[in-house]
Amino acid sequence: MSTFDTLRIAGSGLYANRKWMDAVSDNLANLNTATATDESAFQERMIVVEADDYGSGEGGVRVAGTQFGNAEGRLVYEPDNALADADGYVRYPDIDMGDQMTRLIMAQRSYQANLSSIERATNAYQAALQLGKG
Amino acid sequence: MIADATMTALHAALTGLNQRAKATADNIANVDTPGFLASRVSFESTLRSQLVDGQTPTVGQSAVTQSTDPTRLNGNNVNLDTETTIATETGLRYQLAINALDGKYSLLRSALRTS
Amino acid sequence: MTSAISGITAAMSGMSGMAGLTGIGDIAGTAGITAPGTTQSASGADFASILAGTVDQLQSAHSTADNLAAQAATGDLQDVSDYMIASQEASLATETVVTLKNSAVSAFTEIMRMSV
Repeated sequence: MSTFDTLRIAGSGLYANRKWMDAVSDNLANLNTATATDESAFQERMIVVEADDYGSGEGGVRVAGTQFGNAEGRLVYEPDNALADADGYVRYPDIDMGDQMTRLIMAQRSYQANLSSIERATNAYQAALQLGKG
Repeated sequence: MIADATMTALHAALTGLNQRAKATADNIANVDTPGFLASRVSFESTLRSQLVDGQTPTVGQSAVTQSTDPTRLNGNNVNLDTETTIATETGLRYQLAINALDGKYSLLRSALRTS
Repeated sequence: MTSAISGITAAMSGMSGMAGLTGIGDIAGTAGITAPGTTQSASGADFASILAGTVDQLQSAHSTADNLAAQAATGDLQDVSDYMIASQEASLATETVVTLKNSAVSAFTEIMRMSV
């Protein structure tokens, strides 16, 4: 354990939230990625987070893995799409833009909250380092 | 000549932390460079084992290694959040070591005062 | 560092061996001797033993601050305030001892200057 542990803990929060934002941006970028009906649709990326050393009060957070959403997607009738099958259908991902935007805002606010943790901890440590001067 | 083991240890820590600050700045500058692996500076374990053995620590002994974090598509593995946190922590530890060394010097001075 | 502190300790033990010091408490109005006078009336102990007690605590305060400084150097320090407080205590203890030493020395020279 290090002297300035609060920074490490808040840093782990920064990393987890950034991975979340990465996943949501990936989903948003691929919102309209069409695939052929015999393949699976683009699956929504979701990250799984876990508390590190739960109960100790000083563990932080860890990205434990990724989960993938619905592979079926929705079938849309687009006969002039290059990937359309014999009936003229293509697969689109089962991702809702409004839902993803909400998650993006949540991830961004969590990231900012962790940044303010780091800032306040830095101020507190600097005050401790002035102990006894003046 | 005046320095005891603690003061030399603090001096070694300051040198190591300075090198770490430089390596972190280097990593942050190269966050988009393809194929760049982040550098990590390590001096604590050497210092700790020297202090435990009772030897006077040597100044300027830090190992610079490449990080084994997973790389992104362009071969770069610099994680901006990690580097920012390391930079903040290194700055605080540098201040702490300066305070500690300053405290030792002023103790010596106050012991020598005659009025 | 230890050389300076052991120098003060040697001075203390040298002074406590002098017979003239035990009589200091009886002299009230002499300038620079008010400190020894009050300590003797407060605790009833010999002035030299009070100084010796402060010097003993000084060594332990220094070694605590030293250990915590070594931990700060290697990054093993659990709490920053631990080291800062220990360092301030050591510094205040040093200044107390040095001030007492200087007062005792000036009191002694004052006495020696008195014509009998």
